Amino acid sequence: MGTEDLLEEAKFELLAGRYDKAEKFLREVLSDEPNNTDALFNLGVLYEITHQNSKALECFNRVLEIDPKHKEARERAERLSEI
Amino acid sequence: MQFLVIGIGRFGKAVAEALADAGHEVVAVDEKEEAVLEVETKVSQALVMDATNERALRTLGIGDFDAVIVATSQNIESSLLITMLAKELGAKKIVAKTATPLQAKVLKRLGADLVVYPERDMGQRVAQLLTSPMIFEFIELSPTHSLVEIVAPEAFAGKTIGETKARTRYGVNIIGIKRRVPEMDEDGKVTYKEETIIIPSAEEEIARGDLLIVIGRDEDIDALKRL
Repeated sequence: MGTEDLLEEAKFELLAGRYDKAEKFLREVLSDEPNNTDALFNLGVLYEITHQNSKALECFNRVLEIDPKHKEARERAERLSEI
Repeated sequence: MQFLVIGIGRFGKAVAEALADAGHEVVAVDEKEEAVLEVETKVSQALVMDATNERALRTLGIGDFDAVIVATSQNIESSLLITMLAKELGAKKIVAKTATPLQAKVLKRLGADLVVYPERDMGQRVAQLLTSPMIFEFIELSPTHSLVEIVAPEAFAGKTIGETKARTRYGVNIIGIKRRVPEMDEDGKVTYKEETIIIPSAEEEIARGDLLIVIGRDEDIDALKRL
């Protein structure tokens, strides 16, 4: 499966609430393309949904290292880094 | 409702803005103009005033407010004096910010109905967060029992509340579930909405990553954390 297909599958599984499968697909993308911001962002959202906030924050910060102008990642990272 | 916030530091500003956001009428005062300018567009009225001046304070009509929040604890003397004056001028309820138990004791003697320790409370919360990352909220109900928001243990995912035997095996009651439900936004991106199920039925299935609102004995909650 190509990157785009893997990302689509990951989103499909994420929306279906099958987080293990979604994570597997996203990790597969990242093993080939560690700087894929779509995969990192969706992984961050997955961790947010499952209340793993520190892991989510790591993902959004990684997105921002690669793309400092990523508005949504910045908003989410800012929200997660405050209590 | 109507509130008077005296002292627009970090705490006073946060209280004033939260009350205004909730639709209440808020008058905020501080002796520093720059502090007043920071909130003037957010509250009903923002005034530069020395609240330790009894005549100035009297002009505000203290008795008309549902509560007076004294948020000037950086300056202990001002905080005590304002609390005393507010009480004398007929405040219905006084909430005062404090940093030490001794200051709290004096504030209560002078008329504060409620004292709050923002630094202490936040310190406890940070310590809790660092030592128990699974716990999102913690309310001590008694020396032995607490109410917590805890990430559902992996062992509970996919089971109904009845099947988890939370009450019979673990001695805790699940009184609510906070769930983040994935959805797609208008740009085709995956996001989520928050759902809260209060008093879920025994048939309610727990999803991975749910936040459970649990009441129980502290030792039973600790056991749940280790699952």
